[in-house]
Amino acid sequence: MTETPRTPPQPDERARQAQKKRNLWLALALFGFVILVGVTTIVRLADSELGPDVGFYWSNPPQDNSRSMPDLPAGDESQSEEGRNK
Amino acid sequence: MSHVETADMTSEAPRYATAGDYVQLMKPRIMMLVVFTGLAGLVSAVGVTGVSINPLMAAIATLAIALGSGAAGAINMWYDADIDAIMKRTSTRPIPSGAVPREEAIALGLVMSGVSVLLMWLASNAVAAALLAISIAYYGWFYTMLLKRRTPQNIVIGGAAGAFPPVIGWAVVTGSAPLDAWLLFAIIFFWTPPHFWALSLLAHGEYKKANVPMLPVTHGAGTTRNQILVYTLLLAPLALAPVLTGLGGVIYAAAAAVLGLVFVKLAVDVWRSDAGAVPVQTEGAKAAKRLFAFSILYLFLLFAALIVEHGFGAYFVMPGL
Repeated sequence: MTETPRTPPQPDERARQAQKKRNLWLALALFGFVILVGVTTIVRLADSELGPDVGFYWSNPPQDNSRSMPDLPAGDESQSEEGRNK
Repeated sequence: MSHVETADMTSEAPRYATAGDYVQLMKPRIMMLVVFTGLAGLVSAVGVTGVSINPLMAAIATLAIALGSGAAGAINMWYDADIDAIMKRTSTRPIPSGAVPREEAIALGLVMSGVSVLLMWLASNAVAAALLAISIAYYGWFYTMLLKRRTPQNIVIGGAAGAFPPVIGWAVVTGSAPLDAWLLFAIIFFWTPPHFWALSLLAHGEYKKANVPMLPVTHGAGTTRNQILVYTLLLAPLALAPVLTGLGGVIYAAAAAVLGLVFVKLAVDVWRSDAGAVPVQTEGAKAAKRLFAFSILYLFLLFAALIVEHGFGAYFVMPGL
């Protein structure tokens, strides 16, 4: 006994057109979302403290070498003498 | 495949969903009011605090509020499809009319919820995003699934969902929600019952048919008219509170006073009428219709006054304050 293979129901022309339109809108919505996220990210990065001075990509902030180092506390001279003798 | 046989079995051709049907799922009229009040909160925050915001980020945050509102609307339509099919006013909505399957509505609602909150977070801050998420959950889950079919106070408690947008708008700018923002919240909160009960006085027969416990169905038209008047009498002076905190200036004060008096007058007209009585075509029904229509204008003009004052440099402090 042979079974006739079932074929899925084919959508008519109107259904196909409606589906095509919906897919187009969905694609546009997804594209819009991606653009929005991209634009938001760029604007937020540009507005941030990293900002235009550092550029789009983050890097270590420039070192400030002009800063003077704080004075070290005075050590115990007798101890340091002992240390030197050892 | 997104087509289903229409609910109306007498029509022969199946209805296919268009982009317009998906827009209808998002309740565009509610969305407009939500966006407008959110924008008013945002502009007021800039005017009051002096904190500036990138205009593009403000626009994207406003879009996120719109998408959040649409998401909550789609979730609401998904859950309420059964009662929407029963009521004449809502039977032409995309799901009961057969244009959009329920699964697509909930998928749209959930995806848009995520997208709106994510966009809000990216464009502004975590506080605004959290408030948006809470407002979507409040409307889509708390009001729609828990309150609406259980208590005649559904509109009162659920009204908070629609009151969030100005607070969100404020948080977009400052990252916080101070007293002024919550005053705007309170105005919409107290505005919702008279606005919605005026409509339900006209459509209580439909709600009864759908077994939705709206106040006119459970407590009668008389109690509803009383409640409309009470909430309006609370709303009118409350709308003047922003003048005391300095949020509203001369223009806002004049608008709130005049609009409040008209609102009270129309609420008294409804209170004295037979609105909600059967048959529906009575003088009382006309009074309820007038109150419903004016309530929309009231909220629009009140928040427009804030936008004019803080967005267009027309803020003048009330003399004597």
